Amino acid sequence: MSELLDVFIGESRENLESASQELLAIQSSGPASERVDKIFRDLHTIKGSSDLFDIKPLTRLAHAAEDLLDSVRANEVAFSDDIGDLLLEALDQISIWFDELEVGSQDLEQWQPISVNLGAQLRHFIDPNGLDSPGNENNAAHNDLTSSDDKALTDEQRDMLAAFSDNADLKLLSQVEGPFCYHIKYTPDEGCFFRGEDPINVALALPGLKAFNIDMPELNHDADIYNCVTNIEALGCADADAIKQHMAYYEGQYSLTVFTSHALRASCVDKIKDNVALIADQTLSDALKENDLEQVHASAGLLLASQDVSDASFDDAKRAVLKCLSTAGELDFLNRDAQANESGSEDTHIDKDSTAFSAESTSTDSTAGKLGDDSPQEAGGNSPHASVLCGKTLAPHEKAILTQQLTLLNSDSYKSEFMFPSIAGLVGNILGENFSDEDAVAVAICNALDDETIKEQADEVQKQQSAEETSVEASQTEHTAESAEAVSDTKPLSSAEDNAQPVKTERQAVKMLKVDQAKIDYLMDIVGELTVAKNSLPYLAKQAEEEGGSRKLSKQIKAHFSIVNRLTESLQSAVLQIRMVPVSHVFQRYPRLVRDLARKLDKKIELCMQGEDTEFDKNLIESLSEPLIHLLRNSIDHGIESPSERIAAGKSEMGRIDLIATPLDDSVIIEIRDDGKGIDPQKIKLLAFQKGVISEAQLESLDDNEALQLIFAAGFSTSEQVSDLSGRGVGMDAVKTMVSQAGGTIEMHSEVGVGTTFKLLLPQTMSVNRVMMFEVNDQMFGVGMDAVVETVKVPTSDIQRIRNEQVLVIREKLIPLCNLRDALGFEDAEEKEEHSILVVATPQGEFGLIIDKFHEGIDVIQKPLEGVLAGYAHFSGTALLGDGRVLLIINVQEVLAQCL
Amino acid sequence: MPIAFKKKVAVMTGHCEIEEAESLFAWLNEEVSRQVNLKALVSAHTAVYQVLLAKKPKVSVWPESEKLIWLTKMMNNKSNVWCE
Repeated sequence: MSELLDVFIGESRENLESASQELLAIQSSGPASERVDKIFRDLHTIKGSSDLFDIKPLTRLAHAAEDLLDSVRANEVAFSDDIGDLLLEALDQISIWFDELEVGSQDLEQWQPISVNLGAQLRHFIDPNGLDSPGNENNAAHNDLTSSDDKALTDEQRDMLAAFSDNADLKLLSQVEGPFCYHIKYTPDEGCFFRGEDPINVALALPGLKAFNIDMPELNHDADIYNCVTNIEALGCADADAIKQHMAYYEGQYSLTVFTSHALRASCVDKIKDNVALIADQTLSDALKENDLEQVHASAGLLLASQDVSDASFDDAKRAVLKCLSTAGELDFLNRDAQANESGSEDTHIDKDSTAFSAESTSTDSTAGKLGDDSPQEAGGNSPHASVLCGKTLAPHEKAILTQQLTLLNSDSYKSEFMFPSIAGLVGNILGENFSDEDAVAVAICNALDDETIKEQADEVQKQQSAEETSVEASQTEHTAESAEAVSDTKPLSSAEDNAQPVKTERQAVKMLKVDQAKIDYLMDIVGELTVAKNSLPYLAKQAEEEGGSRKLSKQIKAHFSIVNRLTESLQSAVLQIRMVPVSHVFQRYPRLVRDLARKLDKKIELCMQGEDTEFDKNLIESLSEPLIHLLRNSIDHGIESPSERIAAGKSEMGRIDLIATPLDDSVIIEIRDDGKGIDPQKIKLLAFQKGVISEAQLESLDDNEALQLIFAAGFSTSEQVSDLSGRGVGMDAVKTMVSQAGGTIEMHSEVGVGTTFKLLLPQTMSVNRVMMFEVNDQMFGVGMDAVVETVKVPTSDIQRIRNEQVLVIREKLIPLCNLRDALGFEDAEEKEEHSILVVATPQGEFGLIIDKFHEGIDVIQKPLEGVLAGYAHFSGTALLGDGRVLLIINVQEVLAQCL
Repeated sequence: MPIAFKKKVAVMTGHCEIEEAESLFAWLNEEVSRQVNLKALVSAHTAVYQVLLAKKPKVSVWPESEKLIWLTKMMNNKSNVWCE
């Protein structure tokens, strides 16, 4: 996957996330314009950025959603839950596509119908009666399309089609699909073969290609075969964007003209009528006169089928006309043209308009490469053509679009590389110009919008800015005065220019840095090594004292150690801090989950989250996400009752699930609490017995709390009916495994009728472990500090024996003992008067480990056992000590299981 | 070899890369009566198409591939090709 795509997916996911959060917020607390704005911006960014890649369906869908939001923003469409649901669905779809993109399994062919379908649904909200035109590219074009039904092609365009072939217009019309058609003249450079270009195959792969012509001069015997002399002309149906994208590598070698299918149709009206007259079929003519669509379809189809191909009187034109008529969606256009022709003045106006549209496409494409230099000039208001156009033909909706683009340009979230192409394209479509930089766009928009409010806005920003500037430097005051003058002269041109500048500088200030996680992990590893290296200093000091006999040197080393120690510790915590992310990172996905599931199950559930800013190691948090989803699903599916049951039980109709994260020392407690029906321990016990999880004796002896913990047993499911949400019998057992893999524990409390609480205790970070070192048979071992309860030294006489097991009573508590010498296979030690006992906590209770000698606690980076050692379960890992020795870390549970 | 040059006919098979264009051009130039067999031709580089379209040699077998219908039409002096 390319780096760019990586960045795009990463950023777009954030946009998706924030958009869906806002959508949920709107659904729960009603629409607010700033929320809609936020969603709009998010989608706009996704759409704009996605255009960089060959993922048209995604771009289209994002676009449709953006358009819908735009209408909502403009209060043209009222926000409803249906719209919200559909938008969420669209966001989900985009997210699914991102998943596919990430693993590279995308199939655009499959995406297409989904995109078309969802896009049409979205657009249906904008205009319930509107024609469903999924191929439709952007706002401006869309509006142009609907308002240009009657516009015909320009003379140039007609000539172009005529030059292509006789009746090219009719033939193209007979095959037309989608709202736009194009004509492309592709003249590859002579040397293009040397750049690896393959013009004919490029042309053959043009989207929506309908016809093409290859112009080839005669080749002399001594001609250089590696000179490309091919010229290609092609006609087809696709919008300008698609063609531009396809021809992106051949910039400057082609000229493109795009016109609407409606314009094409309007231009063909006369020809169609003439040909219908020539065909002279009574049924067809009558049907046309009566505007009977079905009859026209039928008779044209019949004529088409019955024609004799070799019949000279049935030329291409007639065939094309029949084909058009047999598939026409409506016939009104035939009559509409007649009206348009009658009102001559209007006709010319329309013609001009459509020239503008097509001229824009042509210039954008054919000259994009060369225009870079002079376009700002043109945009700067020097082009009379542009200003005339803007002044006269801006419709209210176009103004609105321009205003939005200007706002976007000036917004904080503006990202030049992603958003500029889309903004420039949109503005370009409306104004009929093209732009090479943001300033030019801003200037052009301001020029075009001869609207007082816009100017006021600009002036306001300008004033703020000049106020700032005056305070900065005296030398700049002149400049400010100049620009202030400009404002007073109400020259939007210069004010906009000045506007654009500060926005740019602001953007350059990078606040956040995105770093590949692997780099942080690497840094973490180095810090780990540093910790180990640091730990060697005390040994060195000891050595200096004992062997070198220099106390002074030893003291100095120790002093240095304390400095290095402090620095390493702060370095370590700094790196750990980088890896820390707030739990909201994971939590924020849940409101959506809860809402969707609740709707699916017809329950009313409110999710309350607390402590979202509690921080967690990034890796841990990712591994947490799954178990939490499981638990939430369980609460929703099995915990919370249906509204009617709740009312019957005297509870409020709305169920409540609390998701609470609380930091506790180096750990975090995550609680999931529901106020549902709770879990009945008796039922659990019985079920567990039926499933063979417990024996009959256990059935009698287990207390309620122990019974509840049975749900964590493998292969246990409480739901009698397996639903698609949860209750597959793997849930809780899997949750427990995942949590303990992350180094945490899970507890559950439940009260029938009151609710259930799951409590997850998780370490805040998993990278550095503090272990307690001790000695057995002259060898060093370690045990995780969190397992250590206390260390005691007891006289041998205090150790008692019960049934051949050694036990110790500490503060009236009976603690079973385990001699580590036995457990680790060492020889028994000589009788000692006193024993060192390490008391450790395990899920089964407290145990005492008899060891030889206690040592200090130490921070280590624990490494898993590898190779031949991997099979030894009684060690959980190894760590490197400062003096180079390897410390084996004991897996207390395994050792105890062996020993007792 | 995508192009097998026989006595009178050059048999083109599969996809013909740009390198083939030179040998094909030279071979066709050697004698006017030489023909090409396009039966198994599927696609070719523009340079190869360029030789075929500019020289318009006699074709012994037209391409079977539907993708090359345009080539057939164009070599038969059709000025433009409509995809249907």
